[in-house]
Amino acid sequence: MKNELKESLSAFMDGEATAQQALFEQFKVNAAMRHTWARYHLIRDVMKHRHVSQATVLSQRVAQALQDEPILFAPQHKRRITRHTGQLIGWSVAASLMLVTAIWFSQRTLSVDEEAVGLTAFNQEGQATAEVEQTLSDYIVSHNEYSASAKMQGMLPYTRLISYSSTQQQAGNRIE
Amino acid sequence: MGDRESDQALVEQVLSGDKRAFDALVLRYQSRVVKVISRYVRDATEALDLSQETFIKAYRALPNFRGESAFYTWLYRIAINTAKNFLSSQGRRPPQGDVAVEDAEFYEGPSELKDTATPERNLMRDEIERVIFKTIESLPEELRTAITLRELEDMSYEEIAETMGCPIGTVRSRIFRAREAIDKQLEPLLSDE
Repeated sequence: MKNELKESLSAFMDGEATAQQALFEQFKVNAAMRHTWARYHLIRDVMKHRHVSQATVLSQRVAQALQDEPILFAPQHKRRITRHTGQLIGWSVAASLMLVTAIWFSQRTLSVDEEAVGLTAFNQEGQATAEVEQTLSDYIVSHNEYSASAKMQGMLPYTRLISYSSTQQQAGNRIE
Repeated sequence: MGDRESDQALVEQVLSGDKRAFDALVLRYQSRVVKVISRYVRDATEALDLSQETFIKAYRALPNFRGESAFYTWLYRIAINTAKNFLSSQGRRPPQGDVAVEDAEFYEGPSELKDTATPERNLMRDEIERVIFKTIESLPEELRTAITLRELEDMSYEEIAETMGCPIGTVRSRIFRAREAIDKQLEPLLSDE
């Protein structure tokens, strides 16, 4: 076995190696490398006075017993959102939602005033309404998702009050 | 960096389908597991059987290992439970004075294992220890200091570099050369086994 590889093995043993994948590949196929790893650890155990002579047969016994065991693969864990991160995301979405709602109200008020003086063309307003409706829907959906994951039950009644319907607006109804 | 990082890398390697990487973990911890189990059972055969069972259980449970604790702490817990369950199934009581799991990484207490090894094996063990310590004594000072700081003081390469006043690369090389020098004396002994 090359000295370069052995030096990497020595560093890996101490948690100081960088190119680990090459070592793993060698460990699979190179028996000499596995023996070196075993002897390096034997040196460590003897130096730390924790060497147990009976233990040297253990690795062979375990390897034999594991022959019939299935190959393992890491489970696909869902990405976990910590409590604090979840709350932060929840509050951020809620704040954004409030801001967008406020902007939308101010725009709508302006739009109604413009309608009154006949300055806004019907098709322009229709386009703006569709955009606002889409934006609000996105925020409400995002808010509902994150408030549930962040356990922000306190925000739920608030979101129930917010709804938007273009037909309502066209009919001139006020949002409550 | 330390054992924890290389353990985690090995665990991830096993969980990517490389069963051989688990051998590296067994070789690393076999003595410590036998030693911990020998606090509960004093018969060498029982201790070996329970140690083997511990590693098999660990392999099967590895997908559940989240890396929140050190691998050895997790393995230690499995070893203790395996030994206690065995004693319970035999109607025997575990001894007093468990080592806390939090101290598991630092536990290096005396083994109570009844040595059933043959006189030849005992001679071999003594010879291995003699060769290792004799070779360490004969090493050039900079190699001896580097390997001692690493293995006995558990210093990182960076800490050793600061202590010895040399670059990290030099520390890495010195530790490797020290291990190689000892290994060169050790290898012929073990190949005869």
